[in-house]
Amino acid sequence: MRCPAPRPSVLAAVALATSLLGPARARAATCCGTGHGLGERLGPSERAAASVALRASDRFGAWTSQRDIVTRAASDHDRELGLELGWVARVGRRVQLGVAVPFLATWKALGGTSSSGGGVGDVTASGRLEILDEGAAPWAPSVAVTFAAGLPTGRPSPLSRDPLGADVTGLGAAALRPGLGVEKSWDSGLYATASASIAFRTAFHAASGAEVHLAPRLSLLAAAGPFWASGLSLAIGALHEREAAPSLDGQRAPDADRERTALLASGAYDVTRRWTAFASLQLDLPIAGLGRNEVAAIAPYAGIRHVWGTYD
Amino acid sequence: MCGEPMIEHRTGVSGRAGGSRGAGRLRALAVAGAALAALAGCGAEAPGEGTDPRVVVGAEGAVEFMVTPLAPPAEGPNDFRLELRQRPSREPLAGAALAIRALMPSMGHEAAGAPGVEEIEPGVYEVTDVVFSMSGTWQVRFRAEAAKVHDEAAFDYEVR
Repeated sequence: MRCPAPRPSVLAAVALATSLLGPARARAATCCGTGHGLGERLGPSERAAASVALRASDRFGAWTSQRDIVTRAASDHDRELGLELGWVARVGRRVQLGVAVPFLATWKALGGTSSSGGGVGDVTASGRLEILDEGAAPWAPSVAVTFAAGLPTGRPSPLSRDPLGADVTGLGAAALRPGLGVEKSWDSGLYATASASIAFRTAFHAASGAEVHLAPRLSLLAAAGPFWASGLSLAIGALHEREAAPSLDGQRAPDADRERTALLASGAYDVTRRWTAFASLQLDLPIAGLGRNEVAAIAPYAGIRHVWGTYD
Repeated sequence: MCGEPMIEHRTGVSGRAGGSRGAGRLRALAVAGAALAALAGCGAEAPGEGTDPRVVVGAEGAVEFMVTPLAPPAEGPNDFRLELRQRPSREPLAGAALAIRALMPSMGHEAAGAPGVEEIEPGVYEVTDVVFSMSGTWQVRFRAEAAKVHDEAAFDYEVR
């Protein structure tokens, strides 16, 4: 049985699922180092792709240290809007390199105080090495090793001049994130993807001078959905991220482990052979026990992607 | 009983403000038996949520810190009443210079800006504009310095 070549909309949807559905850049806690950051990806017949996307985020609550969900006060808000420019190119038959540059704007109103801010976020460089092509065997998925590097180009929390941190656009630390991704599509019109990655962050200093070491952050993602000959692809999935408590001046903070679980839904449509529109929604599940010490937000996302074919 | 001030048994604060790292470590503290009973009964290790006064003996054992949130800790600016007493005399510690910072241990970041401090009567201070920028567990660290006394203490709050 021959495995079908992935359609551009499927590639876009997979890219959404594996890289764009979970980034910190668009979440309400830019400062806090979440994010998937696996980067864009190309199909076998694609040479390069560029994308532009808008992402909004509205923080509606948080998981406490006791895993309860608390919702924010009705009079408060914490919203973020991000513009993300992405580029990825094939530099060999099996190797792809990419970069994503985010621009962020944040609006906050907390406890009667309001402020706003924004700027360039943390730039992410990504790489992908395809180690097993789909179709090597009828049952075999494609397998790729992924790598992402987060560069601390945004404004970190210690340099914030805003009491509410509305001007924070970056983590303040470099991040290296190796990962593994598998994908599989079937003639019946279904595809599935799963990925795992772990982020290692460099140490940084808080405003007081305390040295902060964030623990490695594990991200697990799975998504699946149908695609049609019309060029439409849909997917639904879940994302789970967790990390141990950070250490402050060498001491591990008690009860400070972090964990979150989000529901993902995405769709993509091939407008033409070279243009694909995509959209997604990420929803941190407001259920006690599914997270800890994390903000909970809803984040819609929409954009467009242009590809250049190998023989263009 | 939980509405009464409690003396808490605290260890492990690593504040560096105004001193060496070693001086910033909180050591295990001896507290009165009656206070310990109150502590156990009220679950003193859990972060504070309401406006109950809480008492912590400082890392150096020289000052007793009693902190009362003026409203349940919430996102945005928060105000506290801080009462300082010298140990063991329990005389009010008047005219102290205070350094205050709030940090979110799980995120590894601190609140921006410097809170306001005003001594409203001898040994009693009003601390204003401690800004919690998101919900979660925050730690507020107080360091007091007077002529012959310096000490520091930390209080955890569950911000909702």
